[in-house]
Amino acid sequence: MKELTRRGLIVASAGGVVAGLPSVASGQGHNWPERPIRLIVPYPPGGSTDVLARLLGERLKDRLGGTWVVENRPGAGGNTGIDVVAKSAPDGYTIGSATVGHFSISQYLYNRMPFDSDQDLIPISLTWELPNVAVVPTQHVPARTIPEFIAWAKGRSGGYFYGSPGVGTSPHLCGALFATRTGLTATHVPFRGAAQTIPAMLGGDVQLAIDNLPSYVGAIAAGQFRVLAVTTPERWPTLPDVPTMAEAGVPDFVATSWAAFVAPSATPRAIVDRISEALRAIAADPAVQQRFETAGARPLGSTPEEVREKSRRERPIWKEMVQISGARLD
Amino acid sequence: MLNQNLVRGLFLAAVALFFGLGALRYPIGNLSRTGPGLFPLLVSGFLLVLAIATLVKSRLVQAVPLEFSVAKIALIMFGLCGFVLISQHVSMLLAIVFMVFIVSYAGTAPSWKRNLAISAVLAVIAYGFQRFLGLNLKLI
Amino acid sequence: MDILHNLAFGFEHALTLQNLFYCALGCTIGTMVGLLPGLGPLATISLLLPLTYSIPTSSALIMLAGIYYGAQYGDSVSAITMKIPHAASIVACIDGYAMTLKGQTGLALFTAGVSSFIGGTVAIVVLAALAPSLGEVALLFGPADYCALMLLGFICVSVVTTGSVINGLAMCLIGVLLGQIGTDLETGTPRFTFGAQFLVDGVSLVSVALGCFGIAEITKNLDEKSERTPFNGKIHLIPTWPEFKRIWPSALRGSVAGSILGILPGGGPTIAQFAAYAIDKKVSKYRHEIGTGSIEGVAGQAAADEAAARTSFIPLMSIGIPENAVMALMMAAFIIKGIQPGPNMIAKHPDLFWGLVASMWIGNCFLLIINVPLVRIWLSVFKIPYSVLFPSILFFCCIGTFSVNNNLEDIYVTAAFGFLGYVMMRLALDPAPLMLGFILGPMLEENFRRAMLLSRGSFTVFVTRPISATLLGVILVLFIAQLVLMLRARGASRAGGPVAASERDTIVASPESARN
Repeated sequence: MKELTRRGLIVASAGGVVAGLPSVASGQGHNWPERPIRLIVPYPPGGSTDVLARLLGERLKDRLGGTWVVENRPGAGGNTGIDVVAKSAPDGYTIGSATVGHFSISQYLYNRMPFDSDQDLIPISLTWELPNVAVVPTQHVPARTIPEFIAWAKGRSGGYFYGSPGVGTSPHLCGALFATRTGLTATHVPFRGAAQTIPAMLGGDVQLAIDNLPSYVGAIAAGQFRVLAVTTPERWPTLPDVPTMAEAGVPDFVATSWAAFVAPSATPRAIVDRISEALRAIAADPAVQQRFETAGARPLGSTPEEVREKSRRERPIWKEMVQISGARLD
Repeated sequence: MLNQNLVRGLFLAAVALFFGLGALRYPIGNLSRTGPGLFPLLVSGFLLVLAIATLVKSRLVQAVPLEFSVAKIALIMFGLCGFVLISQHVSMLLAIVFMVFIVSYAGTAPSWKRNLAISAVLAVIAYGFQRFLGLNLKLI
Repeated sequence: MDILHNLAFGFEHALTLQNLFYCALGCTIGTMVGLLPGLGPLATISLLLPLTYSIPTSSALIMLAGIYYGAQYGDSVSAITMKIPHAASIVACIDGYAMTLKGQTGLALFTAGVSSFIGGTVAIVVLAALAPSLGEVALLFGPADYCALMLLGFICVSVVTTGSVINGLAMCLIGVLLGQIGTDLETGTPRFTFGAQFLVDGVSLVSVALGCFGIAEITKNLDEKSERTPFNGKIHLIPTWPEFKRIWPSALRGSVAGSILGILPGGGPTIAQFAAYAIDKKVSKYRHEIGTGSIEGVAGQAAADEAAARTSFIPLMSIGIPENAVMALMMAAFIIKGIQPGPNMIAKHPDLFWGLVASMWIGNCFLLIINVPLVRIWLSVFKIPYSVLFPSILFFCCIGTFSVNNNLEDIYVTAAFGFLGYVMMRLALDPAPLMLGFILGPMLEENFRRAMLLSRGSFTVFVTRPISATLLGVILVLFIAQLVLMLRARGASRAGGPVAASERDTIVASPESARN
């Protein structure tokens, strides 16, 4: 028995040395990509981040070669997956699909963050943005515009209920901000995703949601929901008749959900630039734009610096929204 | 010889107290805004009642001897934990070998030849998962 | 008739060589995957999703659907042969495994196969006839109604427990408490996590199932040093005619239960199996055998499982709402292909919808055909000595756990539950009610609190909503019926002589003296 364990140790250490060699060799990124690239999506499969990341992964494979494998690493509101990216080897084979939350919101929601988006990650490029839309169920809420909704809500004793996919999500923050700005009494009802929010609204229990567009596209097209406003600075291309919040009478209310691909901060700049360039080209492709549009989003491309700048610009806004909503996670 | 009924009652009581006292640390809230502590407290309460009932019954009913051997379950757990650690830091192939060896000592008549054969087959299967299903196993 | 026309249209699409191939592929992969402990259709579909980019849409969807309902059958097999359940095959662990211990594995597997076929067929008829309108049914359920439904599910505890009911109830409550570990939905507070990052999202069902059932069972076998009953070569696969006849009523009841419950978000196959089991226990001619290894125990569950797996497509395709994680993934597959599931989908893409429906029935046939030879293979797998088998099962448990979140550390949780499961087993505590509590508990709490939030603290909402009121009424009736039966049994046994103290605990009235 003792010989076995000693033998085992020798084998193990030899294996460890052998295992270490390849990563040392490809540190410079000249022949990148040589192995499959992990595209880590920090949310469960099937959600909008997952779908859009997969669409991009497909295109990146066409442009840059190599195999792009989407790996779902859900947990802790998206922090687990991005933490994995931050702590993985900076060899260009681990990329993450991060969202605005990781850059500009989570640090105000959580007491402790396992990673620092400025120090531990390098952004590669913006990948898409999607608007939040203020929707009401057509059958239960007669309002057609924001002012009408405000008037209707004021007439209800006890106020109204608004839904969100969870505490601290951008729909929650938007809903809380909306109630504060308009002076309405509103109660937050958290759900597990739009799949639960939509039936509750269609059943009349919840009257408003300022939620991500992709989750509601089908229902809006079917006429079950009416969009009162979008939270982007300009009107959204697939909803040309819907006013922005500012146009509808709620100024200073801009909140888009955007996403960016990230890599561990020590990843060679050459690799980061190659992926960034590819993403910018993909975003300009009309076929891609059309695909994203059907899903309710818009593809974007940018330089890494632009991502940093955007995230810094938005931090004060989200910080205020978190404070107003009173959301606190751990 | 421990009485199975008694130990069961104690176990249930321990679980009930663990979750119940833990629940008290969270806000209970009121009916229109229930807090995170309300439900666990209620459920732990019920469980405690059942635990007490079990304890009382154990006094009234004939004792049943408790059979328990830590050795085998400990070996299995050690094997599994080792599997994780070795997979994370070295390679999954070695982790498989380690686990099979350790766990075989929980069985009867472990033989290293057989263990190696099993490890080889499992390694091939793991490779199959990685290759054909795309599961990200760190084999090497 | 419109339905027949639609179905004919669908079969036209489903019977192309290409779609047949993908259907077969999906069913086979699904069965293999369901077989393996832990590795579920969710992980598999998400891993295979990229493969579908290059395949035409209907073929891709047919294959993915095949994986899903194929996995339901595979789940039954692993539950029957190894006592390792997935969410939808917990009940199969009770009777199915008992049949294996009695040496009737072949019969159990055959029953599961035929019942799956029956369940699937009934569900497809339901799907074809009622798809759009059934989708709307799901919308009628509000939080109070779900709460009542979950409560009804808890009634099944007494049915699912094979030992004393106090123990069963206690295990159920422990399951509920375990389900509360994690971040509270309403307030975002982490509960019982002790700062551990991996507990922030709670404990995974797979870890609990693999640990409490699989690992505990392996340890028990090793403790007893009993190598499992070796098969003596003669595989008793085809049942006798009386046995075959017993499958049908149970399977049909299960199919109906499964078809109905499959439509409700969140519930689906998980609750359906318990409902089928409970109904059988109340109504079946052989109900006294249920729990000790009876055909009904397996048939009802397998049928309900399959039926629910099919009807769970309805909310997705008719309203565009995915009711569980696998459906969410299917929705992603639709979207990636450029199709938006929703109320207009059936109208805009009838070939897709009806092709899928038709191919589900073809998949049914495939499963039946595949499984007859496959059953022989499974049975010969169990001729492998246990000393080789059990390390392999443990390995698959590790891989299965890993595949859920791509996180190796989840295996620690599984190991912990293995230990806990072993302790509970030695204390004569049965894990099946724990699973019931673990699954239903969080849903009950979430819906209860949401109902209270929406009604602003008033309990009357439970009585004013029609569905909730009806369900609560049913619960009350069942409860009173149980009490009455229990009192009557006590009266009878008192007349019959001294009865052991443990008998008095059992609330479920069955011929106790007969079991004695």
